Order: sequence, then C-alpha cells, then structure tokens
Amino acid sequence: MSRLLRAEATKVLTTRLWWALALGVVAWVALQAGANAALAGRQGAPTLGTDAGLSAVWQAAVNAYVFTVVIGVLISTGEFRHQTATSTFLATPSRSPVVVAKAVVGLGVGLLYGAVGAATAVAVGWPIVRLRGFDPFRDGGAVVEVLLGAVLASGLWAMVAVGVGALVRNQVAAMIGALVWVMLVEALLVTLVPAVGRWLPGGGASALVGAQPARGGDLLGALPGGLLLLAYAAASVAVGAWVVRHRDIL
Amino acid sequence: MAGHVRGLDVAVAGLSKQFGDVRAVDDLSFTVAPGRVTGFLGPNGAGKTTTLRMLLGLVAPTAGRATIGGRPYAELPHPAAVIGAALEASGFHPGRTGRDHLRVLARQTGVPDARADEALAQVGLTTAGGRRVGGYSLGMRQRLSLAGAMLGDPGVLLLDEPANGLDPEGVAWLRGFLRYLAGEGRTVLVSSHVLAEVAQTVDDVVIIRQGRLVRQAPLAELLDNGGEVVVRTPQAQRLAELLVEAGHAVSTPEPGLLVVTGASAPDVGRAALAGQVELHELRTRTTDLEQVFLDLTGGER
Repeated sequence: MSRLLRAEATKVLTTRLWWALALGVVAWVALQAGANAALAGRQGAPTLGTDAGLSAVWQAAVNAYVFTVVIGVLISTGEFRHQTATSTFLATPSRSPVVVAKAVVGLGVGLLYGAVGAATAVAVGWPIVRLRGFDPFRDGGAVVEVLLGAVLASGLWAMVAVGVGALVRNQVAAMIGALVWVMLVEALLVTLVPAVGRWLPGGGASALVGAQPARGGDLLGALPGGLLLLAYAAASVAVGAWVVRHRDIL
Repeated sequence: MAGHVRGLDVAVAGLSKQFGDVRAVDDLSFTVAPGRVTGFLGPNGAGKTTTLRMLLGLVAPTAGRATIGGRPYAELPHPAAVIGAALEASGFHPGRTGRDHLRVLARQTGVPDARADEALAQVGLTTAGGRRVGGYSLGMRQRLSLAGAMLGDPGVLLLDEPANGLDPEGVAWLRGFLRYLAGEGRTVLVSSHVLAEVAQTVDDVVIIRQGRLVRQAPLAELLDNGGEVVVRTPQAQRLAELLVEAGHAVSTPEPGLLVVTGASAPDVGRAALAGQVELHELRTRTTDLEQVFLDLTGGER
C-alpha cells in the first residue's frame, strides 16, 4: 500500500492542478468570509455580536469543499480521461487497492485544502470583524471547533469524490453531476427540507462546522454529522473500488 | 543485462470476447515463442487490441485462457518484471513531464526511480524528459510508451502498433531495438495492421481476421511462393514450348510475358540460350507482401 500511496501522491504533485485549485480555495473562501463578515447585521443577517453571526465568518472555510470535490473527481477520472488507467492497473492487477490509495491521497489533499480554507477565513475575517468593532475570538473554543470541522469535512469530501469518479469514469459527467449535486441539489435540500437534507453528505458536512439552517436546528450534531459524512466517504470508496475491480479497462 | 532476461511463452487458448452483439475475439488460439519477434497482424477491428488487453488482465475473457509463462496476468507475482506493454490506448497526462510520467510508473510498479532515467536513455528521450508530454510529437509518445514497457526490464514485451507515427528514421530505430531485445532472449509481440511495416522486423506472424486465427507461421513460410520467374521476350511462344518440354509450368498473363513456376532464373536463362531465344527481361518474382496479407485477411486492394 505504501508503494501505491507514493505513486498516487506523485501523480497529484507532478501536474499543476493541485496548487491551481489551492489558489481557487483561497479566492473562494476569502470572498465568502469577507462577505459574511462585512454583511453581518445588514439585511436581516445576524450581527457579529451574536454567535451565529460570528461563526458564519469562520464557517466560510467549509466552502473549500467545492475545490476538494473537483480534485477528488479528477484524481479518479483523470486516469480514464488520459488513458493512464491501463498502466495503473497493469501495475496493480487487483485494482481495488488503487482506488483506496487514491482515496487516502485525496483525503490528504482535502485536509490540506480545508486547512488552506480555514487559514484564509481567519486571515480575511479577523481584520474585518476587528474593524467593525467586535472581538473575533471572544469564544476561542468555538472558532477552533468550526475550523477543525471545516478541515475534516474537506478531507472527507475528497474521499466521497474519489469514489464517485471511480464509479462514473466519464470526467465531464462526473464533474458536472457532483457539482450540481453539492452546490445546488444538496444546498437546497439542506436549507428547505432539513428533514431529508440532514441525512445527506452535505448535511453532515454542515453539521460538522456547526452550521444550522435558518429555519431551525434540524441538523445533526457535529459528531454524528461527521460520522455520517465518514460513512458516505467509506461507502463511496467501497463502491468505486468494487466497480473498478469488475469492469473491463478499455 | 542479458544474463537474467527470461523470455516466456505467451499463449492464448480458446479465447473469446463478446461485447454486446459483437464477437470481438472468437475461439482464438496461438502461442508466441521467446527469442523471436512475432508480428500480430490483422486489419483494424480484427480483435488485436482486445486480445492484448485480455492477455494483460485488463479485459475479462468471455471464454478461454490467456497466459504468460503458463499463468494468467493477475497471478504473476511481480508483473512489471515479467511483461511490459505499450498499448495504443495507454496515454499520458499532458501536463506531466516525460520523466515524471516514468517516475509515476516506476513507483507504482515498485522499481527504483533511477530506472526512469535509464529507460528514457534507452529510447533516446533523455533531453526531452523534462518537457511536458502535451508538447511531444506522436513519435516521441511512442518512444515514451516503449520506455514505460521497459521499466521493469521484462522478459516479455507486448507492443500495440509501435510504429504508428514514427518517421522512417524512427521505424528503422524501432526495428533495430526490437531485434536487439529478441536477440537477448525476450519474447516480443508486435501488433500491426500493415504487414509491410513489420515484415523486415518479425520472424513469425500470427494473422487474425474478425477475431479468428487465419494463419500462424514463420514469415519465410508465408512469403514462399514456390519460386516464380518472370521473363519478357518477343518469342514468348517458342520459349514457352521449350520450358514446358523441360517440365516447368508456364503461364502468359500478357503477350510477350511469361511467368514460370518451379524453375530458377538460371534454368530459364539456360533454356533460352539453348533455344536461341532473345530475352528482354529475366527476374525472380518476390512475393507481394500486401497481396499475401490481403488474400489472407480477405481485404480488398
């Protein structure tokens, strides 16, 4: 397995994609954290004086997941898109361990993106909150919980995406499908129908950072939410590994 | 290096593959011997690539067995050291350099990183190794593919259309390289849809059509037409009579032209001199490779 982990890590690190997407995380999270901090207390949003208003600034870190999902899908589908799957599975004829190694490397990249997102949220949010006359870290423990949750959520999202990519194979289909699902379908379900939404991966991820939909605390707690997302990650990798093992590599 | 090279028999037996309604490979059996270059020939769509993919465990056969040294690919303990493959549809990430591509392969097959540079040198890509593959020519990609197949220093090589995209110089280089590898005792199987392309390289041929075996033979046997001599003479009828008297079969495809079977050029020259027949042309007819191939595969010229 260490041989496969090294090989899969080398694959990620030898193209420019991983740091280009890391820059995307910085830009995207900076925008969200900045907006949450600047617009708090306006147009009905809770002020930075409330717990909800302040944690929204740190919760912006969880938006790293968009880029995490993208790289997770690319880690799997890139092999089929560029037809490197042939040499990959010649080297490891049992195939399934390759998907597991990809998921582990994806987890690492996802944690990294989550950490980049967390750092960005603090770097952008802190000065704005200060400027507006509030104490950014008045409840330091809560900040750490939110940021840690965002990092974990990002890592687990990568594993979900690696499994989905292995299952779908077609890069364009997998990418569009995954992004529409997480950014549109899940976002709507979590907000509008939390009874369903809280059982989805995105519901788990939101719970992990302590976010709650506007109309009431219907999401799971942080721990069960995290375990739910972990279960989705494990299931996704297991299905992807099984399918790759049994399909012809053409 | 030659000391430890171990060529193995590559064999398929009763191999079949069904894709939906299409029988891509149909009850195919043949064996490829070590120390020789074998051409795996057939028109496009004959089932060559599918057969190679079944040999490599990438495609599951519908029926039959495909083995390397008697074992299926999946059961080889260290596959990269046993068999290397350069398949047509085995690609490269365009954003990765040639050297990094080989390093990835080296890491996943468990050979030292240093092999990547050795293999690059073997195929003459040392200077291009630091460039991204997206900027490579088709010929350079073929060489990189070959380097990938050589990484584990395997005793068996399966190469799918390796001459595609090579310039004449590259084809000549490839020919020498394959002969050298077979000379070391390796088993070399090279697929192609053009017999003429590999005719100067291969010792044996396996020809398939519509997924079935058409012919397996040494190339020399395929090209042996029993000896035909072509003669051009203004006295065709006279010479034909003399040759028939001497026991040779003669045909007249056009006026003034004779094709003699079962005789050598000196036989015909001697007969002409004795009969005082004037000759304008006398030559041994070599086999038309493409015609033999087309005859066997049922193609049209």
